[in-house]
Amino acid sequence: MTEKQIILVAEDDPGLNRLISFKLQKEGYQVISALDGKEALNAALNENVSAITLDIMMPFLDGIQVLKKVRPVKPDLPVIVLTVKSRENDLHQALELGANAYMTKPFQPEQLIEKLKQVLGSI
Amino acid sequence: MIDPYLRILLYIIIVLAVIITLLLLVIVINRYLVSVNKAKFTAKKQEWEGLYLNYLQGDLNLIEIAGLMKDKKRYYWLWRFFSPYLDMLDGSDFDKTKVLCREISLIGHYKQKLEHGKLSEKATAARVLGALRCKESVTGMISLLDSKHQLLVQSASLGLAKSGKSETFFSAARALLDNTYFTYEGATEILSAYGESVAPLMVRFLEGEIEILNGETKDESLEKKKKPFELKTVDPSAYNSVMIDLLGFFKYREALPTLQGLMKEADPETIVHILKAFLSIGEMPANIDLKPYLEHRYWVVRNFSARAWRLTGDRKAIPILEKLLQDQSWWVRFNSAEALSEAGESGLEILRIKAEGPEESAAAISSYVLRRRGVEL
Repeated sequence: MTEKQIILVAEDDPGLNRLISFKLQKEGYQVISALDGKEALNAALNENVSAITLDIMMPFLDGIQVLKKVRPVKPDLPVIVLTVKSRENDLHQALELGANAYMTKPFQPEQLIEKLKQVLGSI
Repeated sequence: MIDPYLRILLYIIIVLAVIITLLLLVIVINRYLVSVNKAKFTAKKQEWEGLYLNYLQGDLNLIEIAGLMKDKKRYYWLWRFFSPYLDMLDGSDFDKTKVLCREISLIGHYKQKLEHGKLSEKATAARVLGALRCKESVTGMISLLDSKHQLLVQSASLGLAKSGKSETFFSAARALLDNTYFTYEGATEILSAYGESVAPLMVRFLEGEIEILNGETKDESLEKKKKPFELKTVDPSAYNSVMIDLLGFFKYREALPTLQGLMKEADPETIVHILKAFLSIGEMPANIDLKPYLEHRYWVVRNFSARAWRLTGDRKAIPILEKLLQDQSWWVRFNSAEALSEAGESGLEILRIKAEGPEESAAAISSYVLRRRGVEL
């Protein structure tokens, strides 16, 4: 039996975090949720995650800082950054730091799943 | 017999003690009620969340979930529950959420409040209907923009911004600047909710402004375009400044030529906003000549020009930066020294010479910046 891929959902809004996690679980992924940057960094470094969906605006450590710390340790880990439309400028920095893809909120969770499959190389 | 003065003192002490006890009691009861209310809302939210996720997934249909969620006493809780989803979701999930909000009468309730509610209810209604992108409520929200209550103007502007109706941008900008005490930053924050789609509109508007500055204003369509900007209370440059800030915020590179054109005839305050926008965008038009701004009479313009110099790296400006090391403003001296420290070996050499030289201010700031950079003198 193939093992389920583990996706780290780093999103500080609990409702949205659960919604993304719910949709990913329905797609057959295993999910680890993080509600702030510190939790996200800890999970990204210590768990065997296959990809991260990373919100940029998070408490304690923002997504950019998380990415900065994760990239040197896990250079090949697929990361999709999420941000609100009015802060699209952060995306340039995230992409320069090695994010594989991005989505601006509002978004359709299905599009996120599509993008996730792309970065995981499954489509 | 008790001394009458002592008796009065005793009365005062007793009255004060009673007042303090009552106040403490009110605070304790209030905190208790808030925490009970919070716990109830959290429990309800969890219950709704399970239903909502199943509805989005198609495991519950509209009639079933509406029957379970409809709660006439708790429209505000429902709004608080849906609010983050409405901000974050798009496409079919957003549409399904909107249909559900209509089915449980949340939309109908707030439409009614937008028209007939109390002040705070109208304000909430504008935010709710904006977040739900209810196009049919745009007219009602626009009518609130001329209210004398700042809360209504703010909420209506935010509601309009979220409703996705770009064409209301100028009305909201005018209202925020004319009818409220918002600073540029406050207005920019609210208007940024319109998203980058309003950037081309702002560029067109600012291009009209350039034509006016150049005396080419006889275009009727332009006059019409500027009609929403009949001013009431603020300086006309305030509108330009907010739009320039927003273009910088959106990092809208396409605005660079327009900003450059506007800069030539602009007042010092507007020039500062343009230089800040260049810094936010991280780019400046290649052919810009910073010399007049580095030598500007207003120190803030000199300061931001020195900061923006690194975007061009124009070698011709280096002698001016060197001169600015003796500027009367510490910030101008600092940013000029910082710019020189980024100008390669020749810039560092200037700082080394100045650090050892006789001009006190230049020597102090040069040494300071070199030390900060870890460069040996």
